[in-house]
Amino acid sequence: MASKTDEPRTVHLTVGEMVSRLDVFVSRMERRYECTSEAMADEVASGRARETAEISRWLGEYQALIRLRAHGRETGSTTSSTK
Amino acid sequence: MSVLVREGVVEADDLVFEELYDDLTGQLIQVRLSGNVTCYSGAKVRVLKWMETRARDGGVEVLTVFYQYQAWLPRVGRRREQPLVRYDQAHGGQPHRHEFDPLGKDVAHQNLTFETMPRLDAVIREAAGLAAAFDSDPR
Repeated sequence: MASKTDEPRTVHLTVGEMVSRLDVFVSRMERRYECTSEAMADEVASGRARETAEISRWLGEYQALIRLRAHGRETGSTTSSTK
Repeated sequence: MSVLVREGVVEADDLVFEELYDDLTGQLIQVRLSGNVTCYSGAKVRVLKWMETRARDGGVEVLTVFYQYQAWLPRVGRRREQPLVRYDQAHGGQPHRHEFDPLGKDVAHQNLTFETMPRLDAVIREAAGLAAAFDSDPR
């Protein structure tokens, strides 16, 4: 909790840097729950898995990762070379 | 956020905007807002918000594509951690609101749309109010 009155700070990073970071987070969650992100998304959508705060965050970050990878494929930027 | 601080709702926050630029073109692609907000009432709100950008009328339009606002009362002394309210959209494309009973059980979902999704400042005020009510409950 660094800030008391300031507006949120802003940092700049490349799509590739964020893709790498999301990859680490998503992989950690997949190991923790012993299933792929796609499988967990299906489980939640069908009601077989409860949507907890942690799972919701996981799937939100996973969706962002998918969008950023798609952007890399469309533009040929370095995001397309990541996993 | 400074308004909520001046009004005595928010004590501190560590929110960060991360602006993502295309590696090749340098174009702004997405914005991620994340971090935690601490209210004077004791409530905490964890924020994750993804926004996409697109060119419009010579400028850049920012559209939110994912929300998660998770509010809870942290464990203090003998009081255990208590979830207060959560807005997110992991199942289905539209956001929804989770309500919790005093035992922390997720008891109700209210479907929302991107149009009816409350702003972050409204969620922070709601969380602060729920925390104050929870603390004043003699249960």
